[in-house]
Amino acid sequence: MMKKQIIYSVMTAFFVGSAFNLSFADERSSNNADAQFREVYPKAMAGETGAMFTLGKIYVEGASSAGRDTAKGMELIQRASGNGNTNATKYMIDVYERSGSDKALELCQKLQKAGDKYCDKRMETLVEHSIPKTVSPNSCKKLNELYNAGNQGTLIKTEVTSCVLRGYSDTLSFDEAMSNLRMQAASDSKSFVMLMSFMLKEGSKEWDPLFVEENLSKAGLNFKDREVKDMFIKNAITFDGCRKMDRLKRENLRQRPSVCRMAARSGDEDAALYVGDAYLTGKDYFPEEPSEAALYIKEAVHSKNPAIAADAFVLLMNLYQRQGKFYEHFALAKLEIKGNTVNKRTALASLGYEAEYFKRTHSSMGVDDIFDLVALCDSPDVPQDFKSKVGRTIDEVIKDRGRLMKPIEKDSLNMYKEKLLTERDKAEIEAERAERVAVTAAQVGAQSATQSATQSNIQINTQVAQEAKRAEPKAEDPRVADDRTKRSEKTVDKEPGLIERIFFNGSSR
Amino acid sequence: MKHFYLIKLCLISLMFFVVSNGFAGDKYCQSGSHSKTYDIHIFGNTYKDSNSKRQMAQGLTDLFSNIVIGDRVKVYNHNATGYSLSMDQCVPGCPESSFMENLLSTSCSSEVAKRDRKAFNTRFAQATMGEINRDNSSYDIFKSIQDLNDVYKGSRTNNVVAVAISMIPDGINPTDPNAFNKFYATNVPNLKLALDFPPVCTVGTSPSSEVMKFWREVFALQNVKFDFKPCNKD
Repeated sequence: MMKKQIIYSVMTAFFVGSAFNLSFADERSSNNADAQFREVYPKAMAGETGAMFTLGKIYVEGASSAGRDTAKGMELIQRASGNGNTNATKYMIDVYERSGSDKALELCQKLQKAGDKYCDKRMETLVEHSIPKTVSPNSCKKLNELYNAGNQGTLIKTEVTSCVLRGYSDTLSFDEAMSNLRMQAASDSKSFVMLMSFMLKEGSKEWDPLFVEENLSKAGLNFKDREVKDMFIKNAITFDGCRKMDRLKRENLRQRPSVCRMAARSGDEDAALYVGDAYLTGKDYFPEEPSEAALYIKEAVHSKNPAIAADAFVLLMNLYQRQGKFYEHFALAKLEIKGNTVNKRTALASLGYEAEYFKRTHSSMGVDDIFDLVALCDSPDVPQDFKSKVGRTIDEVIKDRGRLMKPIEKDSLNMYKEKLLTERDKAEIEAERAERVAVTAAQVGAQSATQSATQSNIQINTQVAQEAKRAEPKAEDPRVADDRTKRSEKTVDKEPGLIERIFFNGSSR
Repeated sequence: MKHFYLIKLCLISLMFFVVSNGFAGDKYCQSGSHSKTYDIHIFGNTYKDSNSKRQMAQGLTDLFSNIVIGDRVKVYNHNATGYSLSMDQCVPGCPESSFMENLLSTSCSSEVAKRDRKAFNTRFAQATMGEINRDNSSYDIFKSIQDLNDVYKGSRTNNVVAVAISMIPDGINPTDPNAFNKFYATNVPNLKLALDFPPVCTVGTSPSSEVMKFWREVFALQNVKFDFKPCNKD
């Protein structure tokens, strides 16, 4: 209890003491300010600039009993500055700089002229804040003064360069300015835009669209930036500009594709379509590069202009074919067919690729993908020749996979096959099969005959024939041996005369 | 007609009575060049502590001792609302003359003069010190000085102008420089003193160097001539 009381007493004494110290310190500071006020006031009224500045500060800070009067304080400091007080001028510079006023730069120039180095480090920032966004003869005059006064930092140099290139200043030679601009453009987008105006101007000494294309992104710009697009339009970096350029002219061999590409990348869809096509086919001095083509074609495919979008779709389908991208091709075709879009006809027409691919690579395709494809081909809009092709491949798939397929899958495929194939197709398939069997049998017969001749035992022909019969299913696909055996047996049962004829006559077809 | 003369006579007698009592000094006023007129301005409310009041009383006593028979004394009492003329009288007394002249003279009776002088002294004491203990109101020292100026309003006078004023701003400790600094900072920038009065001497003004320093600065700033010459130091 006693201990607690002691702690409370000590704490209370501490807080009271602190409060007293604070108020005492405040009072002491106020007393000092009052004494200073009294000392400088009459001098300030008499026009002494140092006193004016001090009094002004006292008013601004509100340190004395006279209270805070910012307006009066600033007026005094301004008057002191106007009458040549350097400290007041520095104070005003700080104030103007904080408020973003141009007067800070004005006062800094004054100080610099007087040989004061106060502003040396902040000159760049002040210039940045005070120079107008648009270059004008007046602003250039101001910048020239700054530059000639020794302020040759990056920003002022950039601005003076800009003035020289626009013909508002001759502080630097044109070549010197151009060289500055190239250096600045490497890291400053504003400078790069300016550099573009020279490099994209056809006929100018600096004309080099390829340089612009290669370095635009490095300068932090994008082809679709408004200022870039404006510059492109102004300098005919459009599809029209690309089209009109002579593709055979020597200096255009590398520059023309660059112009076309830049137009495309800035959003010119005609240009995108053209460049995509050119890359796809390797025409007009564009290298044949499907991956590059893809970039531009995909851009054009999303065009709101249906004609461009349709042309681009055709190119895209071609591109996928060339790239062997079956799944992309198929997915796109399916989307258009099922969505019944304007590209449906193109998609349907391009299904030949799917049919061909299916035929070639069905053994490596997943069952789901196969079903996806055959289901799509079952659509009434799909041309019959594609259907027939797919139907025939289904037959191959069934033969190829045989027992590896679930019965339900096999049944489904058989059902699709039935639907996709015409009667004529079916007859043709049957004929082909029969022919194949016959050919096989003939080959086997020929082999047997050779063996007989070698062994010189014509009497065991019947036995060989029986062996040949046993060997017949093995000649077909071993994986579907059971089915095939049965089918072969059936075939043999159906046409015994033919087999016998082949075997016993010993002649092939 | 007879009644009319009687009324007229009564009125003249009454006027004479009033004049002889209200301006009893008139008959003592001397038109010669030796006599002076004293304008004594009392700013009683500027004296707050007994010490300063005593100083004022001492100063007035010293001033009074310089006043001689035939001098005219005008006492102005100033307060927060303005000022009033509380006394305007010549110092009673018969001019010095030979015994025979005294016998022949009928205009001045030394006995009457002695009595009048006594009354004059009492009246002077009342006029100058009467209010000092009663008026404890706050005041504005600058306004007080401006009031003094307003009595003369730039007119020239040959009178001796004596001002009994402490010159200490209200509520300020005359020995505390910080208090003067604060008062300066608070009041001087907004001060507009338009002073144009004849040369004055002071009575009972605080002898504190801080007070002197303060006023010297203020008057210099306002371009006012005011030299704080004490009245008893000619």
